[in-house]
Amino acid sequence: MIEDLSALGDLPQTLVRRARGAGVYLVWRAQARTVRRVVVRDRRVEETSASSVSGIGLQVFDEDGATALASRDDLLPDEALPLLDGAVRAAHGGRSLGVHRASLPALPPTHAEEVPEACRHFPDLSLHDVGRRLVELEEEWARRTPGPALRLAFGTDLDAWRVGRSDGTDVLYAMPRCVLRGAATTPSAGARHTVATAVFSPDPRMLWDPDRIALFLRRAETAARLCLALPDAPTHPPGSFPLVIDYALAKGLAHEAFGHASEADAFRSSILARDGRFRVGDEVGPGHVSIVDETLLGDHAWQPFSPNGLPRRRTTIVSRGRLHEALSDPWSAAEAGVAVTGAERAESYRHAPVPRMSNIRIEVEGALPAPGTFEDHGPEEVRDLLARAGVFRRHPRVVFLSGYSGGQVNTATGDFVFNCKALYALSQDAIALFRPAIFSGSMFGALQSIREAFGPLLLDALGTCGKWGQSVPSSGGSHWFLVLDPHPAVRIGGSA
Amino acid sequence: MNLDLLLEALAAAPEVRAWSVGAAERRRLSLGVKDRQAGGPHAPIDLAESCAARYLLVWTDGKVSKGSWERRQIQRDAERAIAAARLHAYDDPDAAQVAEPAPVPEVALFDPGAAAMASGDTTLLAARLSEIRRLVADAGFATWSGAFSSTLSHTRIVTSAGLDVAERATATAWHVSFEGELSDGRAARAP
Repeated sequence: MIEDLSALGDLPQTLVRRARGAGVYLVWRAQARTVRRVVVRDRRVEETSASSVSGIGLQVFDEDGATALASRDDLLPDEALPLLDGAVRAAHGGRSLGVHRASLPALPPTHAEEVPEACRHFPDLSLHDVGRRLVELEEEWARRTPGPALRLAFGTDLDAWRVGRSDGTDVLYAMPRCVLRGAATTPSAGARHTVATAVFSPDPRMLWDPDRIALFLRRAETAARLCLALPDAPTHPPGSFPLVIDYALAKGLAHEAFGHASEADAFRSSILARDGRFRVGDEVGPGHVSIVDETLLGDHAWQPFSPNGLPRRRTTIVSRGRLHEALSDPWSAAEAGVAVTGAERAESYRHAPVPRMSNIRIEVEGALPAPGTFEDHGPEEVRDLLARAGVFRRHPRVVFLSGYSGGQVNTATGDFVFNCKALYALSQDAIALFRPAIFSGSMFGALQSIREAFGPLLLDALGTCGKWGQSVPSSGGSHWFLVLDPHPAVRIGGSA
Repeated sequence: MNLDLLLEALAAAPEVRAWSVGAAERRRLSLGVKDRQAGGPHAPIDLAESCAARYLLVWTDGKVSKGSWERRQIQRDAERAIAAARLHAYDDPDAAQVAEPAPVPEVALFDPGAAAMASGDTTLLAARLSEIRRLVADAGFATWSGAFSSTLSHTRIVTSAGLDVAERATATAWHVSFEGELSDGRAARAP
């Protein structure tokens, strides 16, 4: 499939010449993607599927800045040229619709290719073997934690792009993604709780990688035990409390709140902008806290280039408590008063790229050490960390929010609503489990409240970003645990 | 929509005991509005053409394969697509059946105005945009966002049991939100 993109022949040059003749600037995007999935439940393969998509998207900008995108699901030259003509007509025709006129920035031409080594193992993967392996893993999981109904799914996604522009830019990149997911559900007929977990790798052989499987089973055991315990757990009273959040919830906070609000295409209404311009230098958090978005090789959301052919830059959104850089693309940066960071992504060649995150993290200077691994830390171990750091002297009772299970933010107001997987009340002498509760409030209040951090950065919290109707993989994290002092604008409980 | 190559390949595949294919060829025009800006680089006028087919293959050993094929596989590479489907066959006795011929009810699914818009005519879209802009101005909303689309589809369902139904359909949809809090929309066969 990647070969299909390499073998476009002189189509890119032909398209660029034709666009030049029509007086338009062209960004062409060719994509070839193969997605495969196996689901196992009750010791048998429940579903197996495979699909592929390939096609080309042609986005043109006429001399007045009017733009149109035309796409078709094949890579044939005979079809691409009429497609381009249609895009040109549509761009010109947009004048009658009062469309926005974009200004074309000067961009450096780029020629590059990034195809990770793991990509070559995708064609060798046998879904029969995957099914058998998942059944083995389900049996092992059930042996370790009997009781819950279990479901395992393994998905592979090889997503390859070739992108070019009128200035001669031509980049080819492939993003290999594999995810092993498990979900444990309470078996009783009463209150049911499903707790999910996941491990990813760029390499489809991960199902036979002892380290990845050991990590998965460790997380799966925790998920299964939690789903069995939750039906008997009470509901925690609402209010503002001293909090501990884990790295997955911190990723949710960073992504949904600060990440989306720092996307430059939203600055006409974002709380992080004033009069459409990023509020560079404004204080939004304490001086020991930063928020960074960075694409990482081997990560689930790795993307080395944007679908406009720009290298993706590391972006420090918050630097030591102050707004610093925005996630931008060529068409939003100037208006927003920020540098172009190549942060745009698109679900497919059919979609127009929009600025959005890759792997986002909250960094805390002076994070305290924590022994072992993150998976070694249940509520008892978290309590011990807090005790050793003296947190209980400041707050005798701390609420620990574990895991992230979705949420949203209003980027115009900065208000967020998230949900966690479990909630524990921790004190020097006691630990109590409660059902998951809403974690809501002001994103500024939450960031300002961060006091301590424990452990190194862990950035493998997975997600799917659904901005503007387009789904792309996201990821991120923070230190293993963050301690937040109570803040009147940050609450748990209540209703969404 | 040309399924000839695919149907010939299915008929000639010795290991395929039964099959069902649901194919759709679509043409779509859409336009987005983000924070008052219509048709900008992040939500441009969008003309899309696509062709895909969902399939169910029942193999002689009773296993089934399910998935989707893209245009290239349907129109130029059917034999290899079928062979690839065999590689992910699995046991699912409940799924190993395809539909028989049956009466198809007459339901109006096509509108010429929607079809014209899906093929690039923006007259209806311009009128809708103009009306919404007027309403936004009258109500004093500071910002609004929205999406508008029209789709023309040719669909066909064919099974090895003799079912062969083709249909032409349109769908238009629009959705707007004001201040990110108040929203409305409509989806229907005709604008």
